Amino acid sequence: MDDLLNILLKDIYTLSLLKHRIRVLRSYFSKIFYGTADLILKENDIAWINALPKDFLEKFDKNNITQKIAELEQTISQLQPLTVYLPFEANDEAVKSIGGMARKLFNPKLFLDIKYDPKLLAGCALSWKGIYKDYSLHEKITEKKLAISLSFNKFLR
Amino acid sequence: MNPKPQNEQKEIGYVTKVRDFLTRLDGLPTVRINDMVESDTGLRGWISTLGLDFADVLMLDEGQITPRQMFKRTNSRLGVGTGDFLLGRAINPLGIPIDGKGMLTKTSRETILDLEQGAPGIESREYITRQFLTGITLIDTLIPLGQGQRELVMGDAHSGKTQFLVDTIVNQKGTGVICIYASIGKPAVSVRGLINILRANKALDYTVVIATSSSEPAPLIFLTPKTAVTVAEYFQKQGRDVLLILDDLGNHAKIYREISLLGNKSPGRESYPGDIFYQHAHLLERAGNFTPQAGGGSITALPVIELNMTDFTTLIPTNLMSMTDGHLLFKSSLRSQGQSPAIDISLSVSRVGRQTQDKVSNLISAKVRQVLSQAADLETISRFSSELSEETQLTLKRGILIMELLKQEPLTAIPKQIQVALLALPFITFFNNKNKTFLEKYKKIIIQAFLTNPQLSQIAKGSDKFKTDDELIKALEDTTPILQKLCP
Repeated sequence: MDDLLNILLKDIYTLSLLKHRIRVLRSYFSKIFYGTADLILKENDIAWINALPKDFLEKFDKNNITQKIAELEQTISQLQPLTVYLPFEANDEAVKSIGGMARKLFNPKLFLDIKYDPKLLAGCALSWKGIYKDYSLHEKITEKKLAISLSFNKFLR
Repeated sequence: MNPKPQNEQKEIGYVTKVRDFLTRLDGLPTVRINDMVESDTGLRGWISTLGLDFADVLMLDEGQITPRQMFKRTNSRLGVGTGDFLLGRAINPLGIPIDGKGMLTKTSRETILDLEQGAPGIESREYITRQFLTGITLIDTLIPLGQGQRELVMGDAHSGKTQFLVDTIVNQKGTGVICIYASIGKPAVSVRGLINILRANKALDYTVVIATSSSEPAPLIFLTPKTAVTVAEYFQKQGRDVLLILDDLGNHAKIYREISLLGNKSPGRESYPGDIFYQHAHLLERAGNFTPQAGGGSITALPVIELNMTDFTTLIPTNLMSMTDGHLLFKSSLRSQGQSPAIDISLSVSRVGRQTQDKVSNLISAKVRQVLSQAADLETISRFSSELSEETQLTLKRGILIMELLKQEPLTAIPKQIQVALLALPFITFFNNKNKTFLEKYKKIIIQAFLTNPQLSQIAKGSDKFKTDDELIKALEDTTPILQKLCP
């Protein structure tokens, strides 16, 4: 199961995308094996499937598809995502860049749950296993609120 | 080199499930039961259950909660700010004023106390020796209460329970007793009415009202008695005597049932959870009479329960009866017959109060109870017999006179010494040929005479000096000429 997951996680950095790709996989195999699919695959989804290694796809057959997808979902539900709060809507490139760095720094299997929080102003906040750390500009301003307002006082007439 | 300041870490959890006011969170690694949490939209809640990988939160504020919403652990526990500034005010269980008088005038002496506290142990408690006076003759003489006692007040709707409670609070004026009234999930208008009555009778100055209305979130209503006991403990620890009224625990039990069923706790008898006994016993055990080391004050608790058709054999009333030191049974049928307070004397009991009464009061009380019991038996027989012996007639007449003397108008107090002398009156010869109408006419005059007439007031004031009840009755016999003059 770990092998399958490692392949899946290779280009996927976020929880939402991971869940989407599992659905794509299920739909793809349903179409192949049973002729029906609950998801109409888009071009980029088909491109992603085509880019998957051949031996990965060969591990699925008509008899084990349901079980293997269920196992994958079970494994994913137990993975702990690193929640990243960003003050902007991150595009794919930004996600890839942040995800790549996070995996390099912490854990190659790490994936992210990216949330948009405009209150942060700049920087980011991280949440891991119920601990929240705020590295944003908003937090710094709050921390130094008194000093900032005192320095502004200099300019008041 | 200056160390770089560490970024402050906060504990958070994400919503995984929402069921009405119960929210399940993951995360929050070191959270404890009764820790407060707050959502990113400012909705507050407290941790009620902890599992291996989840924490259940009971929401105190109403609002929309969505899956994966973030909750932050605050630095506070479930508690209430206590201090003398609470006197005369009405607050909700979180200490927020609800009486429209503005913010609480807090001082630096505010103490924040946890709502959930263990009851003091046996080493902190003292034998109850002082009587708790309600100013109501029936209770102070026949079913006396002790300071630090827990007496259950139960009865039908409209049987006069609330009137009795209000009278008891009003009659504490000038005694130094602090009154805490917890109104649990009652209509807002009844709370308003109660506050107005207390204010009109100048009883609000020494009273704290803790109230939740029936429309508020169930977890907030659930906390009402806990806050009331916590506030009572604050004053008790200052060495004050406190009267704590929990009105009513039937509502509280229903609210706890709702919370428990929502939290998937196994339902037991009448669908109440298994720990409903613990919840109430845990509250009431915090009342008592305490040693100077434990603060020195006392908490006299009057939990209230409303009955359905005077049926006190259901789960919650029987639970409460077993965890209190007696009960007063109010009956709407007695009230409709004109008895006020409508207490069924034969079915009411005080297991502690008698030890606080003086000897003569005790003896007179026993005598009165005996007459009332005999009269009740003989009344049935008298319906079938045309001729009754003189002795039977006298017992019946005394029973009627005693019941008339025990009747008391709302918002009136009768001093303790007069109560005893008053109940001894039916045993003197002067009253042998008097009937109910006579007493109805002259009761007020007699009570007034016991306050003003030197000879009568001397007997009343010195009633505890008599060695036996017969001595008191004999002394009252000697006042017959005065009574004859007063009641021609």
